[in-house]
Amino acid sequence: MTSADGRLTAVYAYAVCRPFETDALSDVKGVGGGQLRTLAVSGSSDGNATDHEDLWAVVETVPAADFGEESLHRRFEALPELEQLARAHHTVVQTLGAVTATAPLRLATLYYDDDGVRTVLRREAEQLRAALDHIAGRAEWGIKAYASPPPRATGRPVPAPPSELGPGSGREYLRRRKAERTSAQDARDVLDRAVTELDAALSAVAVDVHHLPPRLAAAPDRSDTPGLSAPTHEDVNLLNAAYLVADDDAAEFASVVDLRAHALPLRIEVTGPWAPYSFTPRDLGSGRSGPGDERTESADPGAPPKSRS
Amino acid sequence: MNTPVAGRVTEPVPRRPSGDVPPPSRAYPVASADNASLVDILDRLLAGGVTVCGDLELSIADVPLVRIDLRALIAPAYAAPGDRASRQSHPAGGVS
Repeated sequence: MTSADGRLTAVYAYAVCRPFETDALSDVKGVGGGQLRTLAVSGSSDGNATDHEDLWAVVETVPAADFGEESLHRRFEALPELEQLARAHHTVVQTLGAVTATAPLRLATLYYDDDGVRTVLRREAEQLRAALDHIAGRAEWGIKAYASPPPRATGRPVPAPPSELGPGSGREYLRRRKAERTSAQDARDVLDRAVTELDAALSAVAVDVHHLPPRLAAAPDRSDTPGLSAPTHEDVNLLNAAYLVADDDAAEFASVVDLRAHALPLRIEVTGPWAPYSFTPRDLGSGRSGPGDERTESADPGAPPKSRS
Repeated sequence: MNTPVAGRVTEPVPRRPSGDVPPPSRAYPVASADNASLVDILDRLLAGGVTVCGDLELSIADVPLVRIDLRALIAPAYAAPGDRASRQSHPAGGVS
């Protein structure tokens, strides 16, 4: 497409959603600083018209030069620009998610023109509707759990039971080392059980759960020896998960977190409510597998509630 | 804002309860997702969301490549690939 001043334009698509009162977006700026628009699609995937336009896409016309493949790669590699883009995208998606069932699209989903968006909406209408049904009236909550207080796994001597052996003997040393290892293992077991209990309790309230990659704590030497540095225990991210929770159950979910936060040796952080980024289908209509596939525990958006591995 | 052509609200719009659930006096921090940390946002923006592939797209940024670049950029916030694979299916795997 070409804008009025002759520049090439593209269409940036944020999300697919159910119809909503568009006033909600009137104060929101898009990734290109422009006006947000909605495109409505009627008709089924076989091309037959239906009575109402129940699938909407929220889009923005952007300068093609700023959103070409080369430009995007450059912008993605500069953290400030990436942050600006990501936050602008996220703001639109969150605003939508607060007012209607919203399936966020992957960051930087671009089309030549509105017709390109409509074509995809029509082609994938069935899956998109199923995805929206799955997330309607539900929101994503993020839970991160860290060890707290620090388990006495390392660096703290285990009290030695009375022993007839002298403190300096080799056998005493080995016995002490073994006791320390056992203690460290016990501490890990305690944390494992705590995380499992927390995850199970939250999953029982949630409709769906998705485990995100655990965060690694900042460690100065990590860039040189990835995976080899040992962050302190209180920094270790034991659980980084997203839960899809019905809005009606949000208070119960919060109380479950509250209860476990008091009872378990974990430091818990909660974020939310998120638009359901983690509970939408991947790679619609492409037939190719993507990097997110192995992380999706509920690949089928129409899967019955409470089904999880 | 352009009004969608002939668009109309045809069903009740689910309205989320206000974002300030849960109430204060919690034993843990609750951060609104509206101003979440960049890493939290990227966790979702780059790994989540619908990817619709079609021949009409101008460009979908190469997500695997972008994620590798990002890991370098904002490491050590992300686990190494091996860590991720081994921990995915087991929420408590981080301590083993």
